[in-house]
Amino acid sequence: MDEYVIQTEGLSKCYRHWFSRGPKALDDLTISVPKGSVFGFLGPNGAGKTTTIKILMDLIKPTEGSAMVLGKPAYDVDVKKRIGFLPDSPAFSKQLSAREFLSICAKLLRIPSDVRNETIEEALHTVKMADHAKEKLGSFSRGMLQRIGVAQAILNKPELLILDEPLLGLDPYGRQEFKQIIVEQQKKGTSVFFSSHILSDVEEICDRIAILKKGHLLCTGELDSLLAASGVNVVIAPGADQIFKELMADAEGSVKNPDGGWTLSFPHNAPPLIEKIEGLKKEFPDALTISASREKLEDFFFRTVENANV
Amino acid sequence: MNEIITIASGTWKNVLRMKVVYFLIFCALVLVASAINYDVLSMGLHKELMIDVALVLNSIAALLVVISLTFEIPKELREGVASTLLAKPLGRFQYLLGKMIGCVVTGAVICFLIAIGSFIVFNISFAQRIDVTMFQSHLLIILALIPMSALGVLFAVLLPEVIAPIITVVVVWFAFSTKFLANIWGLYGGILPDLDLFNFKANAVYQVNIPWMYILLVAVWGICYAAFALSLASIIFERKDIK
Amino acid sequence: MKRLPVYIVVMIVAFIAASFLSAKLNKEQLKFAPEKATLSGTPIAGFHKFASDVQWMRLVNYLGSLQTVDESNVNDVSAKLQELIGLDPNLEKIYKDGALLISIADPKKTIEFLDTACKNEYLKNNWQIPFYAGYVMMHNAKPANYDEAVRFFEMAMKRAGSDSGASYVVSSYFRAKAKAMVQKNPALKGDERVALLQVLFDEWEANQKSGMEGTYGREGSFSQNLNDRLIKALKDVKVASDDYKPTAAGKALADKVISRVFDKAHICSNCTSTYGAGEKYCSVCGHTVPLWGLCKTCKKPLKGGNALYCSDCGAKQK
Repeated sequence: MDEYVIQTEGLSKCYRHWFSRGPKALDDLTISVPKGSVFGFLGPNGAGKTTTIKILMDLIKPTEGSAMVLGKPAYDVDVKKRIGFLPDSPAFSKQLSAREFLSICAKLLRIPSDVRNETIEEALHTVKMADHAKEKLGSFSRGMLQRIGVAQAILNKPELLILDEPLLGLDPYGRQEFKQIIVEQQKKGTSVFFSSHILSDVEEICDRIAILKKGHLLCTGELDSLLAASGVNVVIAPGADQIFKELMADAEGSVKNPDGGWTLSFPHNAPPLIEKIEGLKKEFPDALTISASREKLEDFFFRTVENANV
Repeated sequence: MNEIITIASGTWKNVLRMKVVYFLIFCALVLVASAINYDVLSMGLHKELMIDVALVLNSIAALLVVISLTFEIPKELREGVASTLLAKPLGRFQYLLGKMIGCVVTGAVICFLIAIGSFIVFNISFAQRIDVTMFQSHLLIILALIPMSALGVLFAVLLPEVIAPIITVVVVWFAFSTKFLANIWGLYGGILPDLDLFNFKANAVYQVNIPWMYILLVAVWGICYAAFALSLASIIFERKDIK
Repeated sequence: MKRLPVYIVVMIVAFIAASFLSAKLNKEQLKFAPEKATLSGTPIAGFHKFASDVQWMRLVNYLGSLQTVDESNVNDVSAKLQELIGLDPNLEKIYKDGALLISIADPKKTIEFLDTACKNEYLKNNWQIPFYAGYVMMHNAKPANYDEAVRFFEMAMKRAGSDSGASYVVSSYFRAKAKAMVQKNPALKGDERVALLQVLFDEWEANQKSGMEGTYGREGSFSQNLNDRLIKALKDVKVASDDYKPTAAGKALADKVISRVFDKAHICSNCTSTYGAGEKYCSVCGHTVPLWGLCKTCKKPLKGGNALYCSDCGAKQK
């Protein structure tokens, strides 16, 4: 049980509007997030990512199914002491200064008063907002609010960080810093579960992902295994023009290498072509290097979402 | 308990930074002081009028604070402030109770300032000592904040943002004039609020003493009714999806 | 959701406690704010007192626009007064200033308003309101109900105590009683003077029975200066004037009163004037009066009629 920080089973959510039921925002979601992992939760708009996250934070009640967080039911209030959460559009009382807001959060997180100020300063430094600690939240830009949101999420040194679109509104520097924070948190043993639309960043920092579409889970698993063996790369040595010409017609893509040779990529699901490549390798072992190609997350995402029949 | 105090103090700090609050208190005192000019118009009733105007303005200030609560809770829910707070180890009941206590404390301080200000104005105007009944009547208005705030919380949770303040005002408005239901046990004072229990403005004017035991018991009623309304609000709020 | 049963239990307990307390407090508050039982049910958020102040100012303003209160506008004025009573039944001005404004045009309504005020706990020490009610009942009401007027005057006297206006209230009380007697007793043939004498004599007798003699009479009665009143009533009955001729019944009653009440007071049976020791004839009317206050030894008048020693011969008197 303790291997997983998040476990959902058959999680469904149907929003009510007065007395009528709307379409299912989430349908039979079953996922597990192993301890220590950085889990990317992906999907187009309206896929049910925020709904899932809010169910995990007990902000939304599931229509069916169950959700366990850190081994406890999601509605357990005390378990939230061990979680850090950043909502999708962080909104805080505009009248308060950053430090006052963090002080309220620290009190709610039951951080002892003797270390409270120190913890707040540490969090402000981590998100590089120490210089703005006395400024009112109402005067902050979206990016600054996002940083304060991250600061309040890491105040309690959580075992699990749940972040909804944390990269939204951050400039490239902010994104870079955020990624560093995630990596540091992971090193400290914190598990991270976050949703994002910025697939390149997800690919960079996540070790596991899940993709949703219209409330349905399309795939989940380790990023490497999902993206691996999606095709074959063939590196052709300089001067082997005959082989290049022979394979070029069937290649999905071609890139000229700095040494004058070529890298051709082929789909994985064409056995006769693979047989042809393997035959050429046997005939000209020095002219060809064959390796399995890793698909880009972006390509995998679009392929998975577009091919899904939901 | 610390969580409740934290939410309450957050509400208090929010209100404290609104300049309109200070303007409201200033206007109330100006209106109280202006009652001295009604001498001719009121055919010699200006002293009574000053006492009464202070009490009426204090009641209105208390109602305004409760209305602000019915705006604040839906606003926090809509803007996502509530979801940030409720993602912390804070029960929904604690959140509502914290909001209610914040409202009561804020209202009490504002009403207290208006009461003290009106006493000073009265003393300067008529060079008379402040009768204990005037103090008691103001105290009862402050105590009425307890059930009124609980009602505000209930409607803020139960009704859409636009309707909640209107319904709160209507219910509070009518809760002083439903004596004809007093014989139906449980309905009046149990389910429906009996705010007339706190209304002794005439006693202040005519200086008819109110027993302290009554004031104590009426405070207990306020707490009981608030517990009823807050439990009902919590049952509804526990099932509510926080957007 | 495991907290749900806790909320339900708290809700039920709080509901029962609140209902119980509310029922108790609703009764309790009538002890020190009895007017709440009669307040208007108009939903004005408990601002009844303030509304009454405003309504009073509006009424004063309205009255300023009227030349007089008569049949054409009395209903409007009454309605406004009624509204005011609903908002603040303790406001004295409604009765003392407001209700009297309609006493000529609508005495019945005036008395109704004043009667309401008489029952008001807060105004229980105010003697003017029942006095006004009795006055309007006696002078303006058609037909006048003198028994009711007596009731109001009696109430006013009880409340007035030693107030400076009490004497006038007492006079009105006896006068109302006399009128009531005339109304009930045809044998009096409308003679209010005789009736008043009878009323005062009855009061004197009641005082005697209760053993309380003197100027202020028996406890609980309202016989302030009763002897003076009796003397005046005796004069009114015995002395003829332009509009009154003494009757035989009146004279008989007067003689009875003189013999019973003033047997030691030395009053002329003809004109009811008091006469001094040693006088043979009344100095006012010349009527023969019985001699009194003479020295047992020298038969000369004693000082004051009751001196211990004769100032003429020095003989000791009994």
